[in-house]
Amino acid sequence: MAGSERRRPRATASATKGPTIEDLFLRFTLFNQRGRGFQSKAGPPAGPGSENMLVFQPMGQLGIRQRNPKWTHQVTFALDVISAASPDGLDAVSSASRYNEAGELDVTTTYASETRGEWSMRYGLHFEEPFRSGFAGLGWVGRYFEDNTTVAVNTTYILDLFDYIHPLGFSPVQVEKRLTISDNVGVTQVLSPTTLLSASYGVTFQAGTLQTTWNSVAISDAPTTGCPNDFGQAPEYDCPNRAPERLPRTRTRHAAALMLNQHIPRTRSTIKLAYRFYDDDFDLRAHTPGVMLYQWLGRRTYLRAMYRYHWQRGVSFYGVATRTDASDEMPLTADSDLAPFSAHQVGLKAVVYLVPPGSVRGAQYLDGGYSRYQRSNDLHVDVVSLGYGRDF
Amino acid sequence: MNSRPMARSDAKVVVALVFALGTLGCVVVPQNRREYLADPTMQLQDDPLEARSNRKLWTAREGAAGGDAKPAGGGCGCSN
Repeated sequence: MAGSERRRPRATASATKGPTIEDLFLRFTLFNQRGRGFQSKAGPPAGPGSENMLVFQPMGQLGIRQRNPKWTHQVTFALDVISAASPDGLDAVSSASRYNEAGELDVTTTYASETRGEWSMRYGLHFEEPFRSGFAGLGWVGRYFEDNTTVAVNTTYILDLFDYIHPLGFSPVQVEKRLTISDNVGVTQVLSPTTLLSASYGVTFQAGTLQTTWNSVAISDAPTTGCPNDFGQAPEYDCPNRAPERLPRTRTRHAAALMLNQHIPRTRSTIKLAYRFYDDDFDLRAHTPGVMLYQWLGRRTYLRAMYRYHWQRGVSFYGVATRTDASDEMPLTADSDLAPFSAHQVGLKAVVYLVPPGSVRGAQYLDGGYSRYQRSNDLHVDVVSLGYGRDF
Repeated sequence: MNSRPMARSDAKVVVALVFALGTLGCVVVPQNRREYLADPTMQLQDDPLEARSNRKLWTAREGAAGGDAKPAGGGCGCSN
């Protein structure tokens, strides 16, 4: 049920049946973000401006097995309904800065070979104003030593197309492009009847327009006469004291992660320890440890508590302001996401099984959780999530 | 923005990964002793949609995505 990525497809199912639904997941998540960042214009002329945002995110995922049981499809759809999506922009030519919807369809088709592992193809589309994206990739999973060792490899290509929107709100007819190529390898190893270890590494190369074109940086020596101290989102806000964000045209990113899962049968508890290391050629480096504790309460219910810490050194060209005599060739950003900061996240979740795991009817559960994400540079997010899952 | 020689912390990560890979095949737990590994709390991710939602939360607010077998950027208009 849960953790369906690890589950081996049931290739021995009857070949005479038609396509069948294997599992279903539904989730609704609410993000309430409050904060301020120097890339945002929704504030005093020299910043920082508002990054307040509310996101409603319904999602669903369906697992389908074809008549030939070696073929399966995992179809995921996600919708983001966002208010104040990009207060950084305050663009006059689209409504993306005030209200936006994003939709995504993500399909993974897998063929389970008897002897050569599982081969998969991932493809999909993502739409949001003013942004279109398509992606496709290939993956392979091999299992060894009586399924004690699982090796997974995948590569994904993503092409993003988006309209250029200047921080002052105008938008020439100009489509920007960004290509992302990501290669990943992961290994999962059973260490004992109660211990599981997984390790993964990924390298991602990006080329094209990497900046968010409506992000801006305050010009410290520019005149601010006529610039209103407007915390709202007035579309006529066209104060000329801000320069567009500029990022290099390429970026190479490395990330490696480890996770150790330990079950304690005596107390029916599980502890997961995770760590991720990240480094890229923007000089951004990050360390992200985390821990999750699970406790069963009876046969149908468990609680999960989580804590995650993230520390990052900002990109080398981060700054809260620039000057009029600064070179147009130098990269420059005031984006709070690329700044040096640390973040804490704590959360609690309860999972209640309507049909317990191991039942011949197929497990079925409801869950509800809350978490708080708090960044050291004046931003926090409250997350409320409700989910439903079912095996058929 | 520069290519730096591998730092000491990079080397530690590589050593940790090599150690993890070195454990492959050292232990073979037979199918009939994997009851606890099949527990829902022992899965690599609790719920695929929750994992997706978390990834979006972090990717859109941190400059350091990736490491979870998913692309570290691209695919959304969220400063990544």
